[in-house]
Amino acid sequence: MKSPATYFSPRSLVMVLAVLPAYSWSQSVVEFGTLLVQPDSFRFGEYSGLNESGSYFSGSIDTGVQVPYTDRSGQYWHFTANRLGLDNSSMDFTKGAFGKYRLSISYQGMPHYRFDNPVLSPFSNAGSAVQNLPENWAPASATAGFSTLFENPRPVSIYTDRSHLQTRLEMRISEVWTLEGSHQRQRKNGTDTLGAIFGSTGGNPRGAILAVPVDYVTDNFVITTAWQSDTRSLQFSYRGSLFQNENADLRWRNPFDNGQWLNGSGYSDGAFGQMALSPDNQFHNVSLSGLYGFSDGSRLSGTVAMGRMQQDEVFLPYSSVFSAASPLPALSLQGDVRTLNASLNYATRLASRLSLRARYTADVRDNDTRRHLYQRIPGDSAAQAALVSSNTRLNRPYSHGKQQIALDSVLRLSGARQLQLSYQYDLKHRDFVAVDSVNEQSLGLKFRFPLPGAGSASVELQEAARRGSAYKSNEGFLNGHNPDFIATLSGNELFENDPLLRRFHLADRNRSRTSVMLNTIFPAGLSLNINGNLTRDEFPGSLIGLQSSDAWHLDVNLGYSPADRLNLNVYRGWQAYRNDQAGYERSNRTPFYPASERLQNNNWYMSSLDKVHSSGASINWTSMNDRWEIRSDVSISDAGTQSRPASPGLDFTALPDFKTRFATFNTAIKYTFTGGNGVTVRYRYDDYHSSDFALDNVAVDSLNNILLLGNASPVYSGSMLELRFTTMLP
Amino acid sequence: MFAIHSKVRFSVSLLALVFVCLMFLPEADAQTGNFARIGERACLSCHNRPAVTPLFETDHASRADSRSPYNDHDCESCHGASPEHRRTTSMPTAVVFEGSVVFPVSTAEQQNAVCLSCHESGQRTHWMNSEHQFAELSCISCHDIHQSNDPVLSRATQPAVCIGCHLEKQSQFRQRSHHPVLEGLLACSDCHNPHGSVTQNLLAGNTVAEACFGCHAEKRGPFLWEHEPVTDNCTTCHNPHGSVVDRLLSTRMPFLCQDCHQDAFHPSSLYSGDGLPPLGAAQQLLGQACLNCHSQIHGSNHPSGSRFTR
Repeated sequence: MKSPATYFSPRSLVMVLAVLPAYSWSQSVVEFGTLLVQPDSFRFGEYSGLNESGSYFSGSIDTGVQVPYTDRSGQYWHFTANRLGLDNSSMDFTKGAFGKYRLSISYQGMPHYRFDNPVLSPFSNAGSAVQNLPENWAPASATAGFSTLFENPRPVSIYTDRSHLQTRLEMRISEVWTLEGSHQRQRKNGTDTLGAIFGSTGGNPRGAILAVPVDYVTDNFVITTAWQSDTRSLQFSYRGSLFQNENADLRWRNPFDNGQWLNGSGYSDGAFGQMALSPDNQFHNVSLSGLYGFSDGSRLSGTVAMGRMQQDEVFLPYSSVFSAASPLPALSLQGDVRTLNASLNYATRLASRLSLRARYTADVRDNDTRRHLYQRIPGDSAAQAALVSSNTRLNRPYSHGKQQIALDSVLRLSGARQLQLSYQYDLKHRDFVAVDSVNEQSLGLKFRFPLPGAGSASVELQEAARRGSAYKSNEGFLNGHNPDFIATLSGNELFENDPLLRRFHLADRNRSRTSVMLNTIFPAGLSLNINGNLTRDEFPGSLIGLQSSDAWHLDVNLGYSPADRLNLNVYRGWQAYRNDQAGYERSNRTPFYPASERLQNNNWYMSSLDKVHSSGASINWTSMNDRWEIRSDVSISDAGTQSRPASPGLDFTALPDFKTRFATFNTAIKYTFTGGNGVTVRYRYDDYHSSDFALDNVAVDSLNNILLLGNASPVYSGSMLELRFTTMLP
Repeated sequence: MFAIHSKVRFSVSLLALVFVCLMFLPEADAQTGNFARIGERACLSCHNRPAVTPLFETDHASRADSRSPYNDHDCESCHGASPEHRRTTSMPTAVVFEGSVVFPVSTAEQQNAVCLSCHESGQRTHWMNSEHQFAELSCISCHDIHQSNDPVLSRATQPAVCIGCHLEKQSQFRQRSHHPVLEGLLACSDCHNPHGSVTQNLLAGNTVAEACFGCHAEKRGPFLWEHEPVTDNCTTCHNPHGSVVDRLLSTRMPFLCQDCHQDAFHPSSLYSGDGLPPLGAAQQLLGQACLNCHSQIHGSNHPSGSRFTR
């Protein structure tokens, strides 16, 4: 601490009188204006809420008061609100005293529109938790027979409004202790689409895609106390998260009448289907983090966190139509998962040119949920036979344990060049899956070097090999079925999945990655940034499933900033993702022969390639007198997916490409009058074209068994013109 | 199988206790040097300009906070004792944050040591082990502490700071399905802790799933019928930064699902243009594809929901 005498030397008094400005701060800026949106476009309102044509009011406030920095009270308050009047508005109020406390309350709205037009549903209460059909509904055994389907289609918007309201208090309770608490309430309301299956005939389901309600509330709590000295710190935290779904289940009228179903389950019987929606759940977690700084600059840090997830929503009955032939084994799940996360890190400089860091992390998910045998009924239309071993399933409460050791070293060579060597070892154990344990070793080498002038470049190579214990294709099958039923099976009957298939997240994998990076600044304000990456995964033991995948991108940004008042940027990016997979078609439960004895004609291959080309440019300019300000940007993103099937013997035709093209132009011109008042004109234009063979030219009754919603992929052009006034209040 | 045994709990608790005890060992003294006797006034006689003075509207300058640099050696608390610089402008300050032809910039380690002398705790506990530290980024690579509104601390302006290096994220956030980051409704720091964390990709949570469940708690469960990848790693199926496929899926259905599921009948079939109108109508291709029926793919709590259809 500075002694008071330091402030009052004769020389300092002269300097104070000469240059000390009055740094108290007080401002009130109010902006208000109107936006004109044209035309109606649901998707134009994605994340903005501007989905309907017409005019909108919008305003912003930025106001606050702060005492001068020399004031020992340190008091301040600040309130900002943006996009008031729109669905994506945000507000933030902060009050505090520097070094003592800080209280903040913030709000953020987040509208999300999935399609550019409302979907069409025949259900009279579409969007609600109980959905009925109109009185004139004509049931049938397939969608083509719904003769009154198009008489009263009900448009339903598929959207969600999410909001986050957070209150946070930070207090300094002593010289070295702080206490912090926060509560965040997340609300998510709106609709979503959900496939609702009522029953099946010969393995073919009968159902409808429904517009279903979303009404979620999540409360997140955090309490943290921290102790800190110059080079050491400790932090203890509690985190709690409580999720509530206002709709525990969904009920809908069965639109089908099917002669194969039991009496009482069809539309004519007034039968309703029932589906369990996301259950209420909670998560609690306590953690302790610490940092210890050694006198030589080395650092040891660690975190231990223990958590618990619980869920105990009351179960629905097996069927909403028929009474149970056997009771549920439990009224609710009493789901209970314990988590443990630990990390220990050490970073040091072994020599003046050699740095080292080491890290150990552990992640354990221990699912203690009880296992029971539950009857498997494909839909509410199915009768509940007596509980026999073939139609029961055991729940598989998944647990896993993951450990990782990572070592990195950096050798500083002459001329600011660096060589980085990295090694990582991962070990994972999982329950109920095909591979008990997987280990992966990764080795990386990175060379970084300076460029002439100001800048640097790097090249990084990484090779990784993942290997697992013996692949047991039927592990999930054996653990998910009744042991009595398993005992009746033999050989090929003991499989659910193709035994030659290797699930890609468990399979043996060789990964190679190459990255390049270049950042440099040329004279006269020119800058160049280049980032590139190529990652190739190969799955050497996978005869069926994902064979290989590539992901690469190259991005270039050119900047020009000859002065503080002018900034130009041009951007170009290329990205591609390729997945090659193999399959073997089995149209019946023929035995699983070894690969060499299989019908080669049943082999198939699918190569998917996503390509994305992005480009953009922006300009920011402020006039010398600060009166004029122009900010403009334009960007175009072109994406396409090619899915190319192939087979030596199976019939196939090419799939259409799946495309998205999004172009947007934004510009804002602001003029500031004397005194800080101003006027801004802002314009935005979006042009969006997309195609998707799953949606386009597909009618609500295109599928025999599933009633669809008839929505197409978004295509729109929309514009917004805003006139905004800025007023500086006294 | 992976029960957190009492021995593990004991070991972890013991380790934590040892760590806590370490905290009470004696520490080195604070910095010493020839500092200006009149504090910031010495600096402002030359540096009283808009790029510098907004600092006095921030908590860094407040004398109300005993931890503030302006309760210590004022500007020289961060820029270091610089008697030679005070005497002649041809000499640099002890720590140079923004270099020039005349004054070469200090190393990232030297710069960051200044900031970490106060800020090496809380969210920055793991800074010394983070990717950003190892890449030798300095704090001012991202922060502008002389500004009253540091751009990286605002949702609206933070993405531009991060994208400055992570260029590819710009195009990912413009893809058909993306989180609203460029729209200013989410910040990179809502999911990531750029100062270092216990995860590999600097995630804010202890795991990928924990980070995602922060906003998507409806998928947290635990469910009666769990889909194993959901309990393990959301990125098995999703690209969180953006995807050309709806719902941030890494590959479109049914091909994504067929990477793991090829039982007899429909899961093993080849789906091609033959399944599209007017040639045909495959329920695995049209509408919501596999999710037409297996709609509760993140987990089902229905007693008969073992196939995620209920």
